[in-house]
Amino acid sequence: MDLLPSVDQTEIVTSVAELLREQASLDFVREYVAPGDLSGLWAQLAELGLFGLGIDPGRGGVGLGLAEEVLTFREIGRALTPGPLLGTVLAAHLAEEAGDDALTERIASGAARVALAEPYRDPTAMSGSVVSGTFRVTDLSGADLVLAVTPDGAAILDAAAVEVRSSPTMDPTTEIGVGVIESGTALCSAATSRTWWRGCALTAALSTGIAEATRDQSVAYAKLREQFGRPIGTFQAVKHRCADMAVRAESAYFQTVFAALAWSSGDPNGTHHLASARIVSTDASRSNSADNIQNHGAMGFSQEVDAHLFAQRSLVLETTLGTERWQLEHIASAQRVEW
Amino acid sequence: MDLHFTPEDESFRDQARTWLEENRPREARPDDPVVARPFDTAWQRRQFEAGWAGINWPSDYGGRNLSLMQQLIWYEEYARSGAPTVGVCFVGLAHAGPTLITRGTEQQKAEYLPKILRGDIVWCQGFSEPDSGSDLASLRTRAVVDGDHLVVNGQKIWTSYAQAADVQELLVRTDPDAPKHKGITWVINDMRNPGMDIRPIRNLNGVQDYSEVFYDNVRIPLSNVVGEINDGWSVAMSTLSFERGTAFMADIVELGRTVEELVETARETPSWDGKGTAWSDDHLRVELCRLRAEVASLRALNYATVSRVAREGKPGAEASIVRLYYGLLTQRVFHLAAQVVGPGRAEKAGNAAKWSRGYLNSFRAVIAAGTKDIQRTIIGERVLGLPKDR
Repeated sequence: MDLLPSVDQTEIVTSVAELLREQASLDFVREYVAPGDLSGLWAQLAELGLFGLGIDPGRGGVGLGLAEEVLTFREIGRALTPGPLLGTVLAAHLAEEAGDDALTERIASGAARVALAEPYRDPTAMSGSVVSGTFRVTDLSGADLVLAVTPDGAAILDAAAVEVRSSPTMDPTTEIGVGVIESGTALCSAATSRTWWRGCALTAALSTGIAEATRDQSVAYAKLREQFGRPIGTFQAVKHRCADMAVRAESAYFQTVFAALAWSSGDPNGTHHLASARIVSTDASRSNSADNIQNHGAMGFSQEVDAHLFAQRSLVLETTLGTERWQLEHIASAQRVEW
Repeated sequence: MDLHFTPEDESFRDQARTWLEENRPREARPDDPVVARPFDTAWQRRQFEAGWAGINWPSDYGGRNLSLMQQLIWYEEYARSGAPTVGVCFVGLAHAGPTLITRGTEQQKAEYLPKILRGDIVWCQGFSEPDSGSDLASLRTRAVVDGDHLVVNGQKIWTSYAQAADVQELLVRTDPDAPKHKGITWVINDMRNPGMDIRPIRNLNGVQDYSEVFYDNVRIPLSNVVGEINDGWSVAMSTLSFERGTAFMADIVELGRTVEELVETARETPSWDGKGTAWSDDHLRVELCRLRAEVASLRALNYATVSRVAREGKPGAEASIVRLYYGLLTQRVFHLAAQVVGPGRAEKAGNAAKWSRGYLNSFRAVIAAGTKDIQRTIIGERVLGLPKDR
């Protein structure tokens, strides 16, 4: 039992974090308005192996596991990297699990971009060998394929078969559209919950990244910004708010790691742990984004600093792959949690 | 990153579970520490004799020399079995012992550690003073060297189990002219020394489990100093790192079980409108499940602490994150419990009373071992590197 990353894991994550820092800084994110041009960054991420990190090397992947994917998505969350990263990574896994080697390789190599579709206010929506219902589709422009996922199944469709009505998103770096999908022919599909829950692990990692980045941004600002003749970080009101941010970030991070490892090793309570990770990390992302705005005062309410970007992305992640209420009811479904 | 327990861990867990099931005391533990002492020490002795004491303590002093992970597994199984709290043995096992292991002399370790594990000796803490609570380093209980003894005068307060204890981890001021952190000494004080006066204090639940302690020319041999004279602050920081870091790992497991018990209670308690149960009340069920998620993350933090200790040897300042979160969550659990049990919460008799007592008792979790505000300051300054305001 060891919840800390190994030297190898740290190395992989560092290389991704460095690339994002150099090629996709928050300045880049501020300039980017969805659907913007991602081609340069996409190629570099593909070269690093990001889309096939957890895919078998025989199918064009790197052969690592969910732990490494979670650590990487945490960095993506920190950096607010835009684009259909989540859909693409999840689709590569679905294609691999469905035994479609050619499709796996195409997606894992970054040759195909995959938008993410999930049910939108439609309890009858389904995915698997048949896809039907009203879906929310994220980052469809420029995508080649669409991954439609529900808690019970998943399917990969040709993007040309999916039409949505896009409307402006609160987070300008994410494109969201809603539409009815009726498709009898999926390129590949599975009638299991695996794609959904793998997506929950990665979404929890994205939220954790936001919780950590906002904590760090607040701490850096509290050390520099002076009022009443001293750094505002000396004041308990600010210092203690930063401490609460640290508690949320830390608990979200370790619960996400714990849950991802438990689920991927076949723990029967794996989905319970993942739902818990979603609840804790969603709260951490939302609350830390809010506290970060507060810590920046009037600057936080402007677009002069980047605090708003995190709060806006947080609004998207809070509603990705199940609302909080859905996750809480999943937690409620456990008769008794063993301790 | 790896979640797997080793085969040794798994078999350790199986053995612990079986032994606890067969041997844990079935009778209720008395509240009063003096009455509870023979109960607690007899149970401790039973654990020691069967090889279940000092799981991660060195074998030279009666421990098992196993990992902190196995210590945590023991706590998990201990809580699962419903065994009683360690009670008056807490200070010796959870922080005085670990402090001696890292900072004590050979002689001190040989003298005290085996006795702690056997339940032959009970420790109490002597840190806080009436004017030195959160500002612990301002303490004024004075000690002067007289030959080969320290002579102590002053007063301590909030000393848990003082009436039941044999010895005390005592912080005294040995150099009043040095900066406040530089003139403190950590010393082992025999509670039966002449010149000691112990006056129990009643806590908010009516239990007398802590005391004021007065010192009138109390003589303590210099050989009882742990660390160096005037270097007691660094020794105290070791003590507090254990008190905040590993001492309450068992309490975290217990809190997880408390949430499950509250879920059970909610399933059996009528809702406010009498039309269902507290569990079928959307508001309460959602809040209960949020707590389920949060105590799960607290368990993950427990494993993170074990992982850090395995790599770095001892808990770091991050321990305050766990301590703070544990305290805040404990309060929320019992606050929600009051809503779950409904009007019964105000009655001293009946099934709801234990939740109300737990609610009142939960303030301990955000005051002891440093108040929640002190923990936040420590996190701000030592984990996040924010500037001090003094």
